[in-house]
Amino acid sequence: MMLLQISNLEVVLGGLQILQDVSLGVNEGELVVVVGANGAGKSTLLRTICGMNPCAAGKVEFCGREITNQASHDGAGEGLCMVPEGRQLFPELTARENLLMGAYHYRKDKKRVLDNLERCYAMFPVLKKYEGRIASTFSGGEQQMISIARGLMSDPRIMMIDELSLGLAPLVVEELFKTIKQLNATGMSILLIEQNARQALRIADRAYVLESGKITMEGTGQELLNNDRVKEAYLGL
Amino acid sequence: MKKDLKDYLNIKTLLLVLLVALVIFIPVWGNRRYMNIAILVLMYIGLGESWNLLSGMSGLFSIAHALFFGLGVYGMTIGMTKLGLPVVGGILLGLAANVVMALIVGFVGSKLSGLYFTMALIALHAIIYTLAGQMSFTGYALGLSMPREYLMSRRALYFLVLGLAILMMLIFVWVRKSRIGTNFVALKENPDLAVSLGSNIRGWRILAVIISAMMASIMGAFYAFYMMANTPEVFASTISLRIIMVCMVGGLGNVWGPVMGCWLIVFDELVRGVMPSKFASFAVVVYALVLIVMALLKPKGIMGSKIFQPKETDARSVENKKAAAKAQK
Repeated sequence: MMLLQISNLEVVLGGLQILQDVSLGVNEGELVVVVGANGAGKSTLLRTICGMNPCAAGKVEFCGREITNQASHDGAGEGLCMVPEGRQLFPELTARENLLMGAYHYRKDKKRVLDNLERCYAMFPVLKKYEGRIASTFSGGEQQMISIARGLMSDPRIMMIDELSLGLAPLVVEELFKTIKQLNATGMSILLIEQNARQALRIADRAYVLESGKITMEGTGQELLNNDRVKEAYLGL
Repeated sequence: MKKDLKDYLNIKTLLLVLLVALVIFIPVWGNRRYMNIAILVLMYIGLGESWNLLSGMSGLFSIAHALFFGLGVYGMTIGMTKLGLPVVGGILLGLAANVVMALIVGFVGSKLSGLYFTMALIALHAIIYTLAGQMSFTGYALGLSMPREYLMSRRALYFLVLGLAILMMLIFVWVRKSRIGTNFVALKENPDLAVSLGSNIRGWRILAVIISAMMASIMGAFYAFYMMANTPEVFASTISLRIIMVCMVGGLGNVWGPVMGCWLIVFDELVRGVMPSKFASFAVVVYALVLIVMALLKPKGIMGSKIFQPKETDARSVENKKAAAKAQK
């Protein structure tokens, strides 16, 4: 049984068919990447899994339980975690407060909150150093770190990350991909949605290519990196 | 990092020293008229903190804040004169009325955001404002007079309201620092995201209205002792407008905002004293002008100015500077 299993998902938004017969899955401890161009429906896919978009047909199963069209805040308590596109922090809150918001669903358990906070700080020391600063004063890469750390704070079983590299400098992106790989090495299951195909495929266990709302290719990261069509369309080779 | 005297000699400290000096010396040399102005200023600082908690921190625009303030005044006067309650009873009556009102505002403005909230508040305010002038229980349009033995000297009133204003500032800071404030700000800045993390939007927003209403209620209870009576005018829109102006000019969502904006009240009171009664509403014109100018030049209020911001705005740039300093050595 897969940890997250999406089968034959169809999404229609405003009369337009965005996703068509999309099926994919993430195993426990796996790092799965979905690559695709702008407008392929990548973000819609994530939003639908989280229950932020209604789906017309198909099923989303998490831990063997159907969660199709479940309200997004219920998912937060069950280990389904989304790191949204474009960071989406609370700019006026401090770094620490942003992280604490991620622990909302078990906020009464002080010890668990502090333990998780320490874990996040160990992973991103810069956040510990400036925990009292408001989020909008951090650089783009650091904001992305806050966003990932906030996701980690919810004690997820799977992290779904939307456009990790969006609007960030190449060096920062490289650093963040390393972090994601490390996170995966600790046993975290990750579903990464990414436009930066080359770097994403390099760290992927398995990957899917999403084109105009359909899954057109799948395979291991290495397989897709060597695939001629992928090379031409996404790697510019 | 060691700080020397130079670090403290900035405009912030200067303002603070001036403020403290003013607070101390007003009761020493102030005549009755200046004392009245000082008392009103402090009262509006307290009310400003209440409004700022609801509108600046939680993002629910309260357009009729006099509703909560007025209920506090009426709670005290009705409690004292009609029900024969002690002072504490009057305060509690006002608080209770405000909690009920806050719950109604909360549930009527069911989505509790944007226009729904504002419209619910306008409607309830209109109802209460009208009722207050129509019932014998509330003393009709002339209002109820407080028992004479509760008359306090200006100086006593001044220190009382000073304490209350500081109390309101402390409440504001405490709420902002606590988990409550974290959720208030989160729901203002990105409600969808906060909800997706599990935050209970409706519960927190109702709580914001309740806390803010209770703060305004306590300032209202004070006003009953200052005026020694109530009139329906405590619900007047000019009071709401003054509260909003003080905060908007001073700075939204910042504890020092109302303090920075309270010069408007001074100005208003002084103008009122010298202007012929024909131009009594002149102040409203000035308010409107100030609001427009502020919106154009300083949308974040005085506290949004550069001098009040942390010096290094980018965490990384501090790092870089330290590294550069090290390299130079």
